[in-house]
Amino acid sequence: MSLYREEILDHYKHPRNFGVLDDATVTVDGENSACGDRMKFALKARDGVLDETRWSGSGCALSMAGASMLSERIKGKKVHDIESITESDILQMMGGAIVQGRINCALLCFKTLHKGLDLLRSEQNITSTPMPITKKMNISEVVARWPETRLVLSEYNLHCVGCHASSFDTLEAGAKVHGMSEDEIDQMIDDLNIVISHKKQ
Amino acid sequence: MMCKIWAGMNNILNDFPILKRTVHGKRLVYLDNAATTQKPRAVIDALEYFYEHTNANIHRGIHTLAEEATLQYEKTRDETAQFFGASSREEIIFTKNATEALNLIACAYGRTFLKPGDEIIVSIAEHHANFVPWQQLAREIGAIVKVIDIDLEGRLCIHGTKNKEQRTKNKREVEIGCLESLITNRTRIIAISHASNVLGIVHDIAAVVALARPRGIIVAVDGTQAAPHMEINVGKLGVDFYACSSHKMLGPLGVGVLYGRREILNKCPPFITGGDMIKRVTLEKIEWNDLPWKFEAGTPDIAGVVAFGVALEYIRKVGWRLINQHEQALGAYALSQLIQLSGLTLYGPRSMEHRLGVFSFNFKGIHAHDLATILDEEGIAIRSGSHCAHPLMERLGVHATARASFYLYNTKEDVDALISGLMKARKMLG
Ligand SMILES: Cc1ncc(COP(=O)(O)O)c(C=O)c1O
Repeated sequence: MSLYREEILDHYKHPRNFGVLDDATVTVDGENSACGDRMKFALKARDGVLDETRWSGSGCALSMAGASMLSERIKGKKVHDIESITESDILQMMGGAIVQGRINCALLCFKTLHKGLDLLRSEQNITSTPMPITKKMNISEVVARWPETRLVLSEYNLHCVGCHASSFDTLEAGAKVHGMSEDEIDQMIDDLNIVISHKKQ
Repeated sequence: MMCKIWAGMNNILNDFPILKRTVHGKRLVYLDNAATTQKPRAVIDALEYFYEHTNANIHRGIHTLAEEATLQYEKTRDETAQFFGASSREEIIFTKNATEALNLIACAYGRTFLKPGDEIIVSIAEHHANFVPWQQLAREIGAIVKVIDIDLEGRLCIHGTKNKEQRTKNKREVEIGCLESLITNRTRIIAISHASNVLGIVHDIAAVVALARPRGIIVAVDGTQAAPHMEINVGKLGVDFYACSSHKMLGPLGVGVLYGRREILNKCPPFITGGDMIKRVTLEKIEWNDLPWKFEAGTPDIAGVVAFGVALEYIRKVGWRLINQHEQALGAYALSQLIQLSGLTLYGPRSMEHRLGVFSFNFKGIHAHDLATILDEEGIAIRSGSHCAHPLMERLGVHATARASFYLYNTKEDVDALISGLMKARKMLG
């Protein structure tokens, strides 16, 4: 059976969701540098749902048809569900008869979409969950509110029994007593924020 | 005239068992000969015979099998030397492929004799196998790589002083232009292919040697694409190194050939070290083996080398006259049919003058990979992609081309199949 089934040819000749999105949440590029296939995916997400997507690009029929078919499949879906699409789902979607030499063509849309999803995730982490812990916060206050920070603090030698740093110091002041550099302090604050964000999920 | 050439072809077709197989229910039309060629029955039999009757390691055993294997292996070296017009058997080194042979030149010769600021000239049409080793060498020792440009037809610019241009690559300036204008008193090596695996053009090696020789510049030739299609005489060409691969000239996979001028090889240290390339080794010192074994460390592909000898014999029996006539006539036919297709962009000359039956093209805005897949569904094997020649692709302004490449067992029917396959692709995707 031909790789170029009616459906593939149809998507290649009449690409769906082709174009750009002015108000996209993220826009990403994908490329198969060896053969010159390239595409752009624009994703617009709100409240965990992919409201809108557009793609554009140029390349072989498989890569273009793949992007078109995938765009139809993900539009209006929960981001969480889109994340669970696998490479073999894509190959299935394209008819399953992809030879090894053309796998990269078929999967370019998948790789590009995943770049977009990654970006979406990090973008949303920054906007929706700003880092709640800052270095100006009081050590005892932090521990009282997020007990799971205890472990991180003790890894950095803060919050230990008989510690030189008083629990009523700020994180920054306490860290300085222990001779930590600015970089190390920032690292610690990051680690604290990571611990509490994991707890939430 | 064409008919007469093809009339003699039936025998040749029968010599290649693989041509009888089908692909997707269609007759196999094999047009990927620039990637690797098919093997005649005699070569396949030679491999089998070696493993059934002779198999032993060479150069070390006293027993009968070892003696026979050694004799056959070394006899092939004699035949290879004769085939390529080398002045002695010591000038023929067996490697694993052309790539290894080219790396051997860059490492054994280049690392030893090039100094910071010395210049290496390569062409823009090189396969990565004759580009990257030199780039890498230049980086290691602080040498400079300069690049011979191509003209509008795709032929290398040899003579002339104009057409010099600067290009920025990796933030470093790379000089690109006519060979003559690139040569300075710091030029040490010109590394150039005899024929392009993308454009099919046969480069004017004699002209290169004429510029290089009086200035004492080493000429290293990648003959991987030329050697299968034309009689090579390294002595007459006057080159210092010549490299090629057995598998592209009817021989088995896993064997490459390097010809090197004896005076030069003698001065070079080994490329790989280990067994067989040593005369004497003590705790304090080592003494390299004589040529050519100095460059053949470890157990080689003995069966492959022996069967390669059979491939050379096959070519000799068919004869260059017949091969050249057939390939030129078939190439001219393919060319005339291809350029008649509207929407087909052919890269390289539109005549068979100094040209092989290697045709790179794009068609109707259909991606080369799609062309290859659609043709495959018709049983036709072509290549698509960048053909390990990124600098040339960039120069041509394309990411990929489709490539159909012919050999002595291809026929007019194969060309016709290609053309109707392309028409089918046009109907589907064009
Ligand atoms: C011009 C040229 N040089 C070198 C090579 C490398 O040959 P091998 O892969 O046998 O080492 C090729 C193979 O495609 C070639 O076409």
